[in-house]
Order: sequence, then C-alpha cells, then structure tokens
Amino acid sequence: MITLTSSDGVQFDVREAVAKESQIIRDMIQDDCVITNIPLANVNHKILSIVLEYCQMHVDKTEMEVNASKHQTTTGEGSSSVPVALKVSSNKNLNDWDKEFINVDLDTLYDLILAANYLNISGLLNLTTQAAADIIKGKTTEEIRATFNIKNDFTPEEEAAIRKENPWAFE
Amino acid sequence: MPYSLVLRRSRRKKVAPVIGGDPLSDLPPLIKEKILVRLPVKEAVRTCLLSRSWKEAWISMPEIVLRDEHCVSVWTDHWKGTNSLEVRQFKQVGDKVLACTKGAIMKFDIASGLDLSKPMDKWIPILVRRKIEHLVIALDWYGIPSTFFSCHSLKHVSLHKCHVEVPNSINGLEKLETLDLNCCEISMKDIERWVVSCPSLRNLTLDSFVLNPDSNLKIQSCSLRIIRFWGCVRKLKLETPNLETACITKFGPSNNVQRGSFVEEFKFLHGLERLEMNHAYMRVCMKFKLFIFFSPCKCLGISYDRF
Repeated sequence: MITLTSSDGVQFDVREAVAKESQIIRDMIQDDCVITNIPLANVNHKILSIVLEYCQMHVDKTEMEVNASKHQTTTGEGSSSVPVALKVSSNKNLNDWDKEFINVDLDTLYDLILAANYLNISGLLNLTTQAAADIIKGKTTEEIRATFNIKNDFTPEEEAAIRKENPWAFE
Repeated sequence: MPYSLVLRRSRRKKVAPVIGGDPLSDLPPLIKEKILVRLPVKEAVRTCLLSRSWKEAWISMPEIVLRDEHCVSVWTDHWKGTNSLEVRQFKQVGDKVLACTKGAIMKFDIASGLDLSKPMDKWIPILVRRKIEHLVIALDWYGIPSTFFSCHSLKHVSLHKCHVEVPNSINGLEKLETLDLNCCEISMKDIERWVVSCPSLRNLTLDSFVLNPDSNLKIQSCSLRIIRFWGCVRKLKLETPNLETACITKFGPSNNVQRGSFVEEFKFLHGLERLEMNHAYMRVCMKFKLFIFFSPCKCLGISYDRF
C-alpha cells in the first residue's frame, strides 16, 4: 500500500498498482523502492479521490483481463475463443464507464485535466481533453464564449481582420 | 483506508456554464493543443476568434487530421476528378494548415475518397522537412512517393489502400517502429526489402494481402516483437528470433504443403509468448504436430475465420 496525501492534507491509502497509473508516481517508486508516502502538492482531496476512482477502475479491469487469459491457458484450447469476446465486452464496459465518469461540471473537468497532466496519467488526460473538445465541437464562436465564459477582447475591426486572414476556416 | 473511494460524491452534474473566471483560456498551452487536435480542423482554426489568448493557439498544433467532412463544405456530382471543386477545397485546407502551423508536426492523418494525389505529393516533402513522426494515409490507390523512404523522423506509419513501390535502397526510416499496411498494393519482395531496412521495427501489421497466393513471404527482423498478418500467401516464413506475439490469419493452398516447409515457418520463433491463428491454419499445424515449436508460448488463441 502507498499513502498519497492531497494538497489539503487528506490521506489516501491505495494499492501500488493503482498509484502507478500515474507516470510521475511510477518514476518516484522506481527511483526509491522504499517510498510509501507521497505528498501531491497540486491536487486537492476532492479531485484526487476522483482521479483515484479512475485509476482503481482501470487497474481492476486490466487485472480481470490478465486473470481471464491465464485461466484460458490452463483450461486448454477448448475455451480459447472466450477471452477475445470477454476483452471486447470489457473494453465496451470500460468505455461506457469512462463516458459516465467524465460527465462532470466544467470546474471539475478543468481540475481533472490539470491533475491528469500533473500526475501524468495519459488515459485520463486523453479522456478529459476529449471531453473538453466534445463540448466545444459544433458550437459557434459566440456559443463557445458563453459556455466557457471567455471574454471577447477583440474590437469589431480586429475580428473582421482575423476572419479575412483565414476565410477558408469560416466557410 | 482513511478516506473511502467508494463514496459517491455529489459531482454528477450536467455541464453548466462556469461562473466567473475563464479557466479554459488559462490552461497551459500544451493542454490547449491537446484539446485543439481533437477538434475538426476548421473548428480548431476558428478558435482564433475567441479572444486574444486563443488567437495563435492553433498555430502550434502538433497534429493535423484531415477528413472530407471537415475540409469540404460543398459537394457536387463531379467530385471524382483530380481538379474538382471538392479537391480544391480539401487542398486549400491542407495547404493553409501546413503553411500557418509552426514547428514539428508529430502526426499527420489523412483519409479521403477524393483524388488527392497531386496535393499529397506536395505535402509529403513538407512533412518530411517538418520531422513528421506519425503518418496515417488512407487515400484510394495513392502512389507513395520515394521521398517518403528518405524520412529520418518517422516512427509510426499506417497506409491504407495505397500503392507502394519500395526504392532499391532505403536511406531513411531507421526510427520506424510501427508499420501497418492495410489493403495496400505492394509486392512481396518490396515488403521483404522494406522490413529488412528498418532496424527499429517492433510492430508489423500486414492486412488483407490477397494479391498473390502463390508467393512466399519472408519476414526477417531481429527487432520485431509483434506481427499481425491477414492474407493469402503460400508460405509465411518468420525469421524473427525476438517475436513475442503473432496473430496470423492465413489462407492459401497450405493444405497441400509438406510438414517440412511448415517446420521452416516456425523454427525461428523461440521467444513467442502469444499466438493467435485462424482455424484453417491451426488445423494444418495440428495435423503436422507443430505445437512442439510453441512450447514457450504462454497463450494460444484461435479466432474464427474471417471472410
């Protein structure tokens, strides 16, 4: 077990495999194998608990698959086509789970993006940046500004000039 | 456990506008790029109009993905020609994006039903100059130009439905790790020469090779770890001593082949850990009692024949 301490002092005891979903924790543990308590200065307990929920789920799923394929080798070739189907369905479940998991408010999404980036969890970074892109997708400039509270600091003349620079993008 | 992970938090809210602040704009530039590359290309460019802090964000996008539905806004009945309105629209987007973005391009991914051979011939040297690492091309029967083979930065290549002629000597591609050829028109000899010339190749996929059921294909590589093969050849000979995973779906007149030639196909696979093969191929292996060669193999799988 490894203890992760959030920026606001809350401790989380997690299995090493779960903590190792984070590349920076993986590197720390590799450099110093007796490390058991890791303070995370940039993640508060609310976000850390969500991040760890993600890591836990992904580790569990991977372990389930490994166990299934081990089982397959010991039972011989008769049941060998099962794990392929199992893998497909478990990937589907995991994707569904991810989709539900990332259905959060924008403030949480920003924090998750930053935490995934800081902890270097590539799967979570992909998931969160994709979620942000999906919110932007299909919206007009005005709608994006309204959704994300982006203040338009261009003058109308500047805006027209930018449109003129790349007319092909606004067709 | 001091804090339960099982507790569900009250965070399951629908996306709602944020109150105060503009955290999206405040994200670090590298993260903004990650979001932008996940948008259709024109939408990514249009973010330049959001505010000053977004004006030049898209210019450093390290990945370019071009698709018909994102590049062509008007379709006519005459889209098939080499100079149709659709081709011109697509070309304009590609030209502009390549001209305006700065720095190395990590990934260029193009898929289209249009005849884009002319613009593509122009774009490939630009990509080579800009140190492209990951190239994905899915263009109907596009002939890969020889400049491609002199690229020193490429690590991952995926070609779909392309026509490939490998030059006699390849003086690039030394960093190539992943090669995925799907439905490509390429001779067996050219594949063999290509694979031999890539000292870093770890992952090879050859899919839908049905061109010549009478040929033998010999894959020689010390670096190769994973091979996926789906196709029709008489004999697939793997001289790949470090191969770990093989997924082979092989059709062809193998039923008439003698045991000796099958042994030849497998004797170099000492390190194989995982093998998956189709039924027809597996039956032949069982008939010839070839499984003694797979003794180190930890995992064996059969998939149903795909037609």
